[in-house]
Amino acid sequence: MWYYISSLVSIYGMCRGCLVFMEENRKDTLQSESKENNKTAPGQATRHTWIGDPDEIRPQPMNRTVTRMTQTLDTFDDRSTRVVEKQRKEYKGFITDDEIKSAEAQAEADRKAREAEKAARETSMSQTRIYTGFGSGMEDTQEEKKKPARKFKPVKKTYVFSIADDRKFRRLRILAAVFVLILAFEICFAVMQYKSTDLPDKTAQLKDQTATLLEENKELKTEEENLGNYEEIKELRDSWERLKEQLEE
Amino acid sequence: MGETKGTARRIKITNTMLAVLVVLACIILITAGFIVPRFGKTFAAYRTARAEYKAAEKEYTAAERTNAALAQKVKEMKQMKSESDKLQKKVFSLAAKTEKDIQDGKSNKKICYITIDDGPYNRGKKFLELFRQYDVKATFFLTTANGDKLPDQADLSAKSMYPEYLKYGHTIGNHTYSHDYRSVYSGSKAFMKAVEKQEKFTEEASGGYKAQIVRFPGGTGMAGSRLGAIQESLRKEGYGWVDWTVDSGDSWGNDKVNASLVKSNVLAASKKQNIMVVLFHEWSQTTVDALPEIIDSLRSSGYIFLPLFYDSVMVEK
Repeated sequence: MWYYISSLVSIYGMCRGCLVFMEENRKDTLQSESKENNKTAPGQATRHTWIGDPDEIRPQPMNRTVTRMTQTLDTFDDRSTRVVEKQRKEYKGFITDDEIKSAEAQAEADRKAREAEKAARETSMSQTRIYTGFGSGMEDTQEEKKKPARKFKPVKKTYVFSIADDRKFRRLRILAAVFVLILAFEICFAVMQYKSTDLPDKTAQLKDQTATLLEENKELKTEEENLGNYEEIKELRDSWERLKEQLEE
Repeated sequence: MGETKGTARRIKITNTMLAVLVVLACIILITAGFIVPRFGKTFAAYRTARAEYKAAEKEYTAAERTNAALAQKVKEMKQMKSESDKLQKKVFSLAAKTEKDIQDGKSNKKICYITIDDGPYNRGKKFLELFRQYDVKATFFLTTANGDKLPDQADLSAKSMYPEYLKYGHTIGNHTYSHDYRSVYSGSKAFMKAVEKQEKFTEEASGGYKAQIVRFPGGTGMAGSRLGAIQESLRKEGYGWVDWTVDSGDSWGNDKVNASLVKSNVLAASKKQNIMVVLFHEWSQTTVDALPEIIDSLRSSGYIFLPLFYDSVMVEK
């Protein structure tokens, strides 16, 4: 009975330890992530801070004189897509906070304008589909818009577990090792269980074979006794051999 | 909870894999709960079973090893016995040829057949030991005149001596069952009856040995007028018979009989005979004393000591 109680207690303790570990890890992860996000606060920008749109491709730094021609010339990338180079401001030294804020506001406005343009384009394209005969009027549009019922498919999700530091990672490894040890222990038990049932049969079989061998031994010993003494037989054979040699001389 | 130390790590895992791991962990824990209370008993049972198996295995290995050694030994003994039998046949074949060559004057070899009459006696063991020591083979003409006991050791069975004679390659001859002149020479039938009775006794005592050579009690001279009929009967039954060419004198029964006399009798005859059949008696201690010198002298004279065999020229058929 004590075995049952102790096994239940150990199972509960392991589950509780897992939960505590995961909770601590989650808090530590959140804390470390928030620290990473606050690394670059306003007022700490340098001359190397990118003030442009985050989606935009950063042009490669080039050592060339900025001229009017440079400012107005269109450039093309490898796919012959027209790239409009932003007009660069004259170097004025360290950028101030006001300039950064205005640049950010401008970038935000640009971004919103692009999104609006994209939405308008999509709308016009969908409208174009309707009016070029793919559908049969507004009713068709609505029906077409109703997508057929999707069959149930299990959604593949990926979970990302963040482990805040080495100490937590070490604890996770220890936990995994404990589980592996328990598994090994269970495998050993299974093997012992199997052998405990299998070995007695093998032992009985071996004993039968031994009994047969002992019977054969007895017969062989009797046969040996009937034949006589090994040394005497050898001596007799040798003496006949000597006599033969004497007669053959 | 406090500051983080070291690098942060991210582990990506799909929901399927996560479910599998959780299920596996649950199974492991639940199974562990069932196993722990039973572990002690199972371990004890396993240890007992293993110990018994090891003991049985050890016994089996020992029995197997003994078996193999014994089988090998028996095989070798059988092989040696077979070789011995073949060599014996070869020796008798060569001896028959050598006898013919000696008689024809083509060979200067000499053969001596030592014959010991009236056994078995317990003293026969001394003869056997002597012959073994000097590497000599002889012929023992045996009788059952004293029944199934040794005359000089009444508590021992006469039959016990027969295998001893054969063990060292000596041959056994038939000296009739009773060795009683009056009864055996009363007629050929009586003689044959005595021979057959002795033959049966020899076969029983020796495990099937057939003594094909007969020696008349007292020699063929004792048969008198019945000799022809007796010889005819013996011939019919496939027996051969042999007397002697040299009487050692150990049975003369007087005070002058001693080892020196026996020796001189034998050595004197050896000067004239290249093939000798020498008569000795198994009850004679004098013969036991004389034999070592006789054997040495005859050997140095070039004699080969052989047991009598059926195809020998000395055996009449």
